[in-house]
Amino acid sequence: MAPYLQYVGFFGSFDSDRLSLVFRGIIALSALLTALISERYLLQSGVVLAEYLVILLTATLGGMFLAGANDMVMIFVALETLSIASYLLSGYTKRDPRSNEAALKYLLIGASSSAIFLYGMSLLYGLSQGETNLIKIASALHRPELAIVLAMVFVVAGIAFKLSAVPFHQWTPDVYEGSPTPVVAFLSIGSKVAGFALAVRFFVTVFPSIDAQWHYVFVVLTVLSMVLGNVVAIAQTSMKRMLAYSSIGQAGFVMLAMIVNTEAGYSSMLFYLFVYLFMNMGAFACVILFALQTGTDQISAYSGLYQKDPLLTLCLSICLLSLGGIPPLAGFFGKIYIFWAAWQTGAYGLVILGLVMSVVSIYYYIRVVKQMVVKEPQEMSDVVLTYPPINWQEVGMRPIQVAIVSTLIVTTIAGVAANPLFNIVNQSVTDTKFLVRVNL
Amino acid sequence: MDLTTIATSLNTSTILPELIVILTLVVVLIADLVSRRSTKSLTALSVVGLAGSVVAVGWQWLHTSNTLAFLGALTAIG
Repeated sequence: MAPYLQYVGFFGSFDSDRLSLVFRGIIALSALLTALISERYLLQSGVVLAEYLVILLTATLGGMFLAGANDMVMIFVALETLSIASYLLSGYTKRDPRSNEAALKYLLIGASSSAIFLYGMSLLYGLSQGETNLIKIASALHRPELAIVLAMVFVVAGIAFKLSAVPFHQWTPDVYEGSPTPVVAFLSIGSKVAGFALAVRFFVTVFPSIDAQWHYVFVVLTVLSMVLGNVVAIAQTSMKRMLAYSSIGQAGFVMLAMIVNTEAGYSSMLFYLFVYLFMNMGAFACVILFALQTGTDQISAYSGLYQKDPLLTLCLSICLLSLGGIPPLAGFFGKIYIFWAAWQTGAYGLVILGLVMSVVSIYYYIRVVKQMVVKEPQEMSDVVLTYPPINWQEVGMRPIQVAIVSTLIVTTIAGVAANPLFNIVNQSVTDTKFLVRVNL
Repeated sequence: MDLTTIATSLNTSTILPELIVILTLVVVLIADLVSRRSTKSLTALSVVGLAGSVVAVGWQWLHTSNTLAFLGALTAIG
């Protein structure tokens, strides 16, 4: 080991432990895949690429710092870096009124949630006699008090906004529908992973004295997110809106892993977030490719796509089926690991609800697959009838191809060959001090 | 002040992946200023930078020693 290697930097504000490394790796990978799928989309939209990439990198930076932040000042600065860059990205296609609307809605709701989060942190600052470091705050808050519960509720409201957990999800469908699709892909993965990294570090470190209370709040958020996200997704006609509600439901599954509060629970959460990165990004890459070819994202427009583009149909089908948890794809192993971890702790009701909601999600994912593989030519949608052959030689098309192929490979084999991944996520949890203390 | 001391005071090893992202950001801005026509290289630069950041995360993983042992009963680094 190099003698100058440090794990805690900036006077304890940033902890580069193995848990943060996994989260930071996922965030950087999500930005990398987003950069790959963005170029052609932005060129076709007629907007400048350089500033977009700079804002995307800034958002990535905010997310990565958030994953290791150990101090309330650092947390807020990193959170705002991520949030403000996300607002800018949402409204990047400024000639599109829907993009402007999305950015404005995101900004207004995001600013409110930041204010609520900040209020919760100010309460913690006061209750701990002026501490900003999470570990020092935890040492000061050793007895459960009503004021601590109140601070916890405010902090939950701020973080749940980032996770788009119900009932803090109202921004998600509108922002997803109006924002440029590559931005939506990043928001649904990178931004969410950063939110989970913050949630785990903050709640486990700061609120051990009100452990039962914050778990109870997260049980409510989990149940609502799983039910509302998956049920409302059924009724959607736009692919982006469907994926928005699906991402709310997926956040519910990940929160289920978090509230289990065991090493297996946190490991399953990391594993699921890793595979979710690839299956969700793959789905978005396919949706972008279809939109570039046809100019629409309506689910009905996908009718008969198999006849014109079997490869795209195959890629999108695999990613959607993996999101639904169909074996032997990566999503199946991710979900089974979460449910197993929850079952071990006796959370039978939540596991059964999760299984039921997985079945519901399979219904709306398979509906899209079924739509694509219709056999009769008269059932084809108008846009598919005039679907042009893909020209991979065009500028920005090769990166999309690379993104689709790489996500498809990982989605297909990450479940079957999951052992190295399981080792990494297990090691990251057992090597992280604050998580091990919880499980002692 | 030698290089190791500077690296330590800047926390470079702790935030190496983030530093690479910052450098990429600056390089993309400069590349855009130098040649406003070419967009292809900008995506490539970003992808290379982000891939470097992922590699740095992997490097940190390999060089992070296990600071806890016996299920947390013994802490090697406080």
